[in-house]
Amino acid sequence: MNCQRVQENFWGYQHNHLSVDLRLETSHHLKACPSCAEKFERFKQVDIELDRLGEIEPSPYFDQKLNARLDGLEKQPRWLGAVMFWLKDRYALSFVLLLITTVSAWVGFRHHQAQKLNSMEEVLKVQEKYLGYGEKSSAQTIPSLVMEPSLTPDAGTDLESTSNDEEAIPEGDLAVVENYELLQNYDFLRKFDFADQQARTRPRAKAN
Amino acid sequence: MAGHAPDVELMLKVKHGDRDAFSVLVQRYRKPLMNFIYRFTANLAESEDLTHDVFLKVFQSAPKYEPKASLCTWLYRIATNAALNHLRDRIPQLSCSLEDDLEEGSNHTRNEIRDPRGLIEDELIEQERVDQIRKAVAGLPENQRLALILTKYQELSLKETAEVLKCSEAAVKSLIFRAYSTLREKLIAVVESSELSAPSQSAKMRP
Repeated sequence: MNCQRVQENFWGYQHNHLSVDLRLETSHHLKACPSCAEKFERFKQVDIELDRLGEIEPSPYFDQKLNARLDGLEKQPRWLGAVMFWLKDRYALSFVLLLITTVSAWVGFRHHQAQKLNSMEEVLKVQEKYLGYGEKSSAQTIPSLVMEPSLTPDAGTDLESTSNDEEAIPEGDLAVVENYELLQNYDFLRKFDFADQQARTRPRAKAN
Repeated sequence: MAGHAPDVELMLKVKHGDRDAFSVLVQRYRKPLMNFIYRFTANLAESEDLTHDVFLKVFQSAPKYEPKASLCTWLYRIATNAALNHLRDRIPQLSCSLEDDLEEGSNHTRNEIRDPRGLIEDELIEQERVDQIRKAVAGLPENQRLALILTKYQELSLKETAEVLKCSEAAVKSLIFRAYSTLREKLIAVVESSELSAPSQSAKMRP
């Protein structure tokens, strides 16, 4: 047995809480090891000092006070006890508050997403109305904002038609049309498959 | 009859709402629990209220009680939790209240260990020594303090202490050893003065 293990068994050795074998082993070690023997002497001195601390007695009203609290406890409804427990237990209360905050944040996020989606649908309507996507998805209706003018032989005509469209666009929807390229990044626009439309347009332009 | 009944039998009666059986349990454990809480929190004024809290908790939890572990261990577990929660809630006030409580506690102890010879000087020296010991114990880390109090003062076995602290017996041994080592450093002056006074006292005793 090493010194560390012997020292950890000092309390058990001093208070007879060790098995017979362990006690004998500790005893032999203490006789053979002066360092551990000295530490055991110190341990015993501290143990003696600790015996100086006296005991306290409960007050004469201990039972009376306890019975009064017990009576109060039995009178109050069970649900109130449960509520008081939750309010008193700060960990439980913290957990509940954290849960409420997380759920609120999640609901708020979902609501925000739904609002965003609605606004996107409105943008889509504007796109359909002024740029002619959705119902008429032919290459001729794609505006010059999407197609490269150099690739289209009738670019001038398209530009003229676009400028005519712009004149007809109300001021409120103008921002949507002007930022059309940025809006292309939104997921909902994928269904229009602009890339395919451009691909179809380019060979036609070359052929012309 | 109920006064000599085993703990488990009494607790099973309490489980069915028997207040008399509960009173017997209270009589049996109020002093050890109160002393345990007092030694751990070093707060005499609140140790009685905390002991009441422990018994109320026991009464409330009685319907869920299963006689798997010893009742004593269960009670000390509840008392430990109550004392730890109390200390953690009162950390800001602890530094000032500890001194007051130790002072208050020392007056209390003074009555208990009154020197029959009535020598005021000896009494004061003894009182100072007790205060130093009490402060040294109160200054130990929570786990070490709990292990020390449960084994040394509440006389729980290593196994029972391990159950209360929810750790292994080896860990309890280590905690006790570290607690004694720390106390030895803190109480070196007290121990040395005892060593010096012991031979002089024994010399006085000789004819």
